[in-house]
Amino acid sequence: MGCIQIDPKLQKSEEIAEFFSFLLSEARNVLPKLSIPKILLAKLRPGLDGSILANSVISRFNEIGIPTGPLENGSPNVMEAYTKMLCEEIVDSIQSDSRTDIAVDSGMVVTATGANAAGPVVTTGANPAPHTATGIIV
Amino acid sequence: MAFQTPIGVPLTETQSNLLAQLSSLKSFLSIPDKRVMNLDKSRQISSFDYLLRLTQSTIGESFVDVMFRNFISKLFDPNSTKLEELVVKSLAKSLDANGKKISNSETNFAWLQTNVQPGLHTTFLVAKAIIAKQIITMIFGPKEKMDTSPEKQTQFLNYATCAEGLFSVSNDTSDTDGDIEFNTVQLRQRLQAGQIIFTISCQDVKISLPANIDDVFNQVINPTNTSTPPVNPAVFFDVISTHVGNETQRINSPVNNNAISKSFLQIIIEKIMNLITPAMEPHLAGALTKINSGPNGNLGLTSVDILSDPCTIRNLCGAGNESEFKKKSAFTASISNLLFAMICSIMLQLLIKEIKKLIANALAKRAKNKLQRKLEKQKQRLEILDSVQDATSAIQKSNAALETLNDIFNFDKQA
Repeated sequence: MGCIQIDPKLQKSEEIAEFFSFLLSEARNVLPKLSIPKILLAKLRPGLDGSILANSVISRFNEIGIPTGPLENGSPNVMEAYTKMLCEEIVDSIQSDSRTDIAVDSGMVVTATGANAAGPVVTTGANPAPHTATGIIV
Repeated sequence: MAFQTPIGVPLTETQSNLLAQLSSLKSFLSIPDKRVMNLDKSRQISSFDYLLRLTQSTIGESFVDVMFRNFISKLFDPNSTKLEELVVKSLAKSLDANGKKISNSETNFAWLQTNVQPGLHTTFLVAKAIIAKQIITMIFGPKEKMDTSPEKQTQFLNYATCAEGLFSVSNDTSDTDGDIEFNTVQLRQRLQAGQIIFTISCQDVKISLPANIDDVFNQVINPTNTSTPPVNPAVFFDVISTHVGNETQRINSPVNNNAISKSFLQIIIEKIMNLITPAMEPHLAGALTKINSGPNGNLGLTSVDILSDPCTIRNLCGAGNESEFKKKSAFTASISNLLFAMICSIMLQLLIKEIKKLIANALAKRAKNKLQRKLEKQKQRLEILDSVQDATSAIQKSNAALETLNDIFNFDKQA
């Protein structure tokens, strides 16, 4: 720095970085909330498969100029092998180790039907406290 | 004894997995921890340098050129009052720092804005070109080009030497005290020779002002056709930047032409900030006369009192007399920081505009690609489903066809 210092009010490199980070995060796509039918249709999804994921990634190699298939000198394509390994391990890890923790808020309306000696009984209530559930990702 | 070939002992999967995990653990531990940098603002990268890096990495080097030329053009535009406003603000700061009051009924700044700025604008209509010329001659030398009077020539040479590095656009945290003395001597020698030196690939490229530079200066300062509006003297810096690029191409290599022109434009920005005060000083006589005939009477101020030359400031720098340094450097500190704020503001505005466009284009492309990929995958799934359907009916057909041959397969059972 010279004899004459930059005014501290003009030392704004951190704020500049924060502002442009804000612009980038504002530009991020926010996916809309899925409807219940769309969520229930997930039953038809085939589940994650490491090989299929690896193949999808490898199929895009030519977009960025990475060669596919065995290399010109005949040696195996290590990049493809690495991609396959990475995808398989990630998917295996998600399928075997991941856990989804779900919480259902209190106030969910519950309707139950039953019967007693007097005839059919219909009750309506709500869960008084939040309830948890656990899921896995397949 | 016969030669024994070593036998490689193979490892089982469990054994090789464990070996891989433990050795990667060791290398993971040897990676240094990420340090969270909590730096004081004065030790962080300066706003100017950070904006420069953002521009270079996101938009490109050529846009940096656009920004700098924009700054120089706005500063020296004869039709704009930007420079006059900065001068008035800095004069006010200097008067305040020296405890001088022009009027008791209003602030120094308000009084100067009303009473000095309009006259300054009239002076600067022509003076801006002379100031730009002065800055360029003080960058290149020799002293004979800096002024016609020999006494003034030595004065400007001294100013050009002392002003070097007085204000920097970077927060340089290295201790360069030892280098400053050496660089000052080198600079003085170069200015006396009338050259600037670039070192490119270990070759010193010495560049002097172009031979026709006086004609270029005169065309703007003393135009033959006085009815045409004044030309923006920012054109001087364009001519010089092109000349430096051409000389580099001629002396060194064509590939370095572009890089050197762009580096030189960056050098010019800092030189303008350091040399504008001594270049402007001769043209502020009118403003000083007005100040000395203000409502509070003759304050007896001279340009030395308000502006201070770079050598005085340089001598007071680090000499221990902080209050005297603050008084003497008030004008220069103010105008340097105002110019710094101006260029950062221009860079920020242009960068925000370009980055917003970049983000919008990237988003649009990303959305389009995402949609395309989804549609492709759905199409593939539908094709698979169709082929499964065909396969199913093919299996049924195949089974139906085989049934007709069952007589042959089961003949031995029938007999």
